[in-house]
Amino acid sequence: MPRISLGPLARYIIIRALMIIPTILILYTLVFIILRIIPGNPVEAALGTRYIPPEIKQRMIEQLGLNKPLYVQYFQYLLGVLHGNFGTSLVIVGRPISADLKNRFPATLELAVWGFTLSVIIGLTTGTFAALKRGSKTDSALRILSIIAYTLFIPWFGMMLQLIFGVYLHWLPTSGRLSARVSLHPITGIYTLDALLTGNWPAFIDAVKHLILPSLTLGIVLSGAYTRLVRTNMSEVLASDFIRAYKARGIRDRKVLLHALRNAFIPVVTMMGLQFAILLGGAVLTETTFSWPGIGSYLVEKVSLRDYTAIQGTIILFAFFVGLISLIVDIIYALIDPRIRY
Amino acid sequence: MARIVGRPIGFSLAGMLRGRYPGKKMMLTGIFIILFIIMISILAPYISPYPPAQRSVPISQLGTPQPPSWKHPMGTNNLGYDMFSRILYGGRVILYVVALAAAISLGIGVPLGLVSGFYAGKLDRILSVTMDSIYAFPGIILAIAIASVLGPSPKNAAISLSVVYIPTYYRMVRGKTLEIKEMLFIEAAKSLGLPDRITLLRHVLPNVAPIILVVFGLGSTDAILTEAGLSFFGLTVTYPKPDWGLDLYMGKDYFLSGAWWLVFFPGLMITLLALGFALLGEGLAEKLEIRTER
Amino acid sequence: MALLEIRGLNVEYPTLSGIVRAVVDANLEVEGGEWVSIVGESGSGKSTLAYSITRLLPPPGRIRSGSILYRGVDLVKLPERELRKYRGPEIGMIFQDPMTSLDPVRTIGDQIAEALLEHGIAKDKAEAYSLAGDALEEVGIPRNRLKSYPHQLSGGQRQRVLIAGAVALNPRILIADEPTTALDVVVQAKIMDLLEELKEKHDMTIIFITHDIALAAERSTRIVVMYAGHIMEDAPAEQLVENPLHPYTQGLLNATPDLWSDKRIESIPGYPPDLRRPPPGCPFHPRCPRAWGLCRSEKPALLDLNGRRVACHLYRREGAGR
Repeated sequence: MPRISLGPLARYIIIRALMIIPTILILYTLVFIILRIIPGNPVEAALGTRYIPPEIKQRMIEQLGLNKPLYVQYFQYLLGVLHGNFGTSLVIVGRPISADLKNRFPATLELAVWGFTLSVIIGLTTGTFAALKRGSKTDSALRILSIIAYTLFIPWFGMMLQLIFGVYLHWLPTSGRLSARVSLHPITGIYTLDALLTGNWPAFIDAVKHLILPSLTLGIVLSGAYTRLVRTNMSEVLASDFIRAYKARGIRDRKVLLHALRNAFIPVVTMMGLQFAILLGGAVLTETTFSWPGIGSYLVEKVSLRDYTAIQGTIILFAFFVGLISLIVDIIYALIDPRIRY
Repeated sequence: MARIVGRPIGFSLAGMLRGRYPGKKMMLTGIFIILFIIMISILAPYISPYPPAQRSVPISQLGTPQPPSWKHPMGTNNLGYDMFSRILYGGRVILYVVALAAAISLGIGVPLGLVSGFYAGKLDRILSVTMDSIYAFPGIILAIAIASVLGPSPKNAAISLSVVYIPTYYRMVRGKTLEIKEMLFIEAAKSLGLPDRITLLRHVLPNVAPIILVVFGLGSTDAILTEAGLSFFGLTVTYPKPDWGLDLYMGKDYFLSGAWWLVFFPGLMITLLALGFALLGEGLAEKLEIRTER
Repeated sequence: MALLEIRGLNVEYPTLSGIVRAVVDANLEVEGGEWVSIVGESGSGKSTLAYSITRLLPPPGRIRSGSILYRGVDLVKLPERELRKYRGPEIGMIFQDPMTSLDPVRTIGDQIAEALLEHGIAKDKAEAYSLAGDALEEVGIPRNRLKSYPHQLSGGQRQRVLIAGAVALNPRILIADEPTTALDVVVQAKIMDLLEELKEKHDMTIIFITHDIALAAERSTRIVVMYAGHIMEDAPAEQLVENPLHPYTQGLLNATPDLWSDKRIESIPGYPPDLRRPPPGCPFHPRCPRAWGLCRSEKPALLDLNGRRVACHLYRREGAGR
């Protein structure tokens, strides 16, 4: 009878996890194919007109396994990835990609989590407010604002925030993750977390200050979808019979609103996986705009260097990340909605 | 949503202007914005005060961006290019790329969706999983990867965008096709012995058409923002070709020292164009009573 | 003084195409211990009347004028915060659709216990759950169901849970808005039995809203018939069924199948009026088989006739028409 007995939930999680594998495989295959479209081979393309002795070039090709048949390359690389080996850079010869990614990933994770949290908070408040004021001027204004928010071009919006809060008001820093004068002992690489873990308050405040503008950029742009979904759900829930039943039992408005929110929130959760993916796309633009050293700006740097193995590795890491998030979202959904049977 | 079925879709301009319907204001505003931007892009050679990629200031001012003035309403950049002229020209590439990408995505995504939904077999399952995987992946990241391999050019940018947006069209069309297939009148058409091709074209496609329009509006919004991203990263055209996304990137190094006009206007135009399509899509969705995912 | 006294109540719903006058000049007194059924077709204003008592009208409904005195306190003028104390412990409500009247994402125990804590009936969570368990058992549901979610219960069980939730607060008045309409006939009878049992046990007054005059006749002490927002007739249940005075009541009874006679069922011809543009005079006159001149021009007042009331020109003191 108890809803959360470990057996079915564990099975549900395993099934969901298995369902992610084809998604990641398909993306891996796609990236693999795309990178084989390059005329000649990636080494030649990356080197361009630079001269490198033929024997070194040959060694690079062998090291990357590019002389082997395609299907061997396909499975070899895949096996490597599963062991955390993303190959080596074409530009800085011999440098393992996984080291770079490991270095850069926490910054993206931190930015994404903050941006995501902000977008949900902004979306929930504005959506609820619009639902409560349904049909009013505020409601239609919020509706238009949510559309505009979605269409904001992230680098532009980010630069406008930098201009206002950085250049004119001098309130917040416009780039980087931490001021040079602040020292922080890294543990996880997520600076706000590290600062808390080491009880380093100045570093925490400094890290938060650096986070505000980039995560607000992402948060506002991504909030529009939530605003609209919450508005629709909330209007439906507020008009539902059980809300009236709560009121008829004399439950205070604040509590009734909370119960309504909880109901309206469930469909929002199902959307979060896709939203997070969109957010990661936005993070690439945000990181470039705010000189944020994450895997998004890493990708862009490697694109201009034509470091194809690094590009391949980054994309695959993104694919794993997206898959993992959608798994987490599925689990949260199962936990908060008692109607889900697993 | 079954209500869409059988409703005639008349999109004459006169019909759109007449009468009251939900979403009208949004739709017309969106169309107005889009037409305005198309118009200035076409007329750019005739109305721009200076050539877009030529020095328009005295040599003495070179190297320092000049703020907006009567002579240069949107200022000039460090090379002395007139920003107003660059803005007028700057929509040409993005409009071309997005139109081409929309045509490719439509041309591939819609037939695939129709056939996949109609025959619902093994092929359908494989296609669905593939399309869903691409759909669930951040579009701009994939587009960057593809464009970086193909090399920077408008055509390659359009191909990259298409790979990303074919799944959007495919998914919506397939879903709708499945729904319509279940409906009685298709059964009736089948029992009459009509070839599948005729059933698809005469009965399924007309009912899927409204959805395609909405996806076009909303999908193009995403496509514009993604293409602007590609331009921003230098994956569409090379400087000094006038392009809003690229100009925004070039202004990035100067605006922190106060040259706001180098980034404000190009970015505003990108957002405005995206807003135009978003309003069109939203208005259409409301008029046709289609619930959108976003 | 009556337990509940509704005086000159007018309720309306402003819509784009005009104002819907859902309840017009309603006067009604309910004494303690009664089972009053309010009967009418959909759109007659019976539910609107019931919901105005605790001011739970669906938007954009609003009380335009009148007063609702509960033990001398006018609920219409009471600020929302004060009124909240009356909802539940004084006047409870149960609803038509048990499938949608419970929060799908919370356990039924949580939902019942919350109200007990809100009104200070239970001092702490443990007591609230124990009382909620008692209430469940009282309606015939084992207390281990406290941890169940609504979707794990049948329709009849959910209605029992809703009744338990209302009765746990020990209200003096229980307003039941078509509580059996959504249920099948066997379950319906059981719920009615349960209501009757609880009424006696807790010394409650029941205001029962229904479109089914036969169902009302079974248990009510009194029946009030509404039509197009007006109270048409109000009489002790037995008298109303044996000797209906209003032509509309007569029509309603004729339209009810009778198990013990092979009398033909006759539905009332025509449709209820558009409440945005009610007809002049008696609202029933366009469908009334016995309408005469005055009915078309003058609205009949609710006349007192030896302990029962009727709004019809046929019973004017002058004795005209009969």
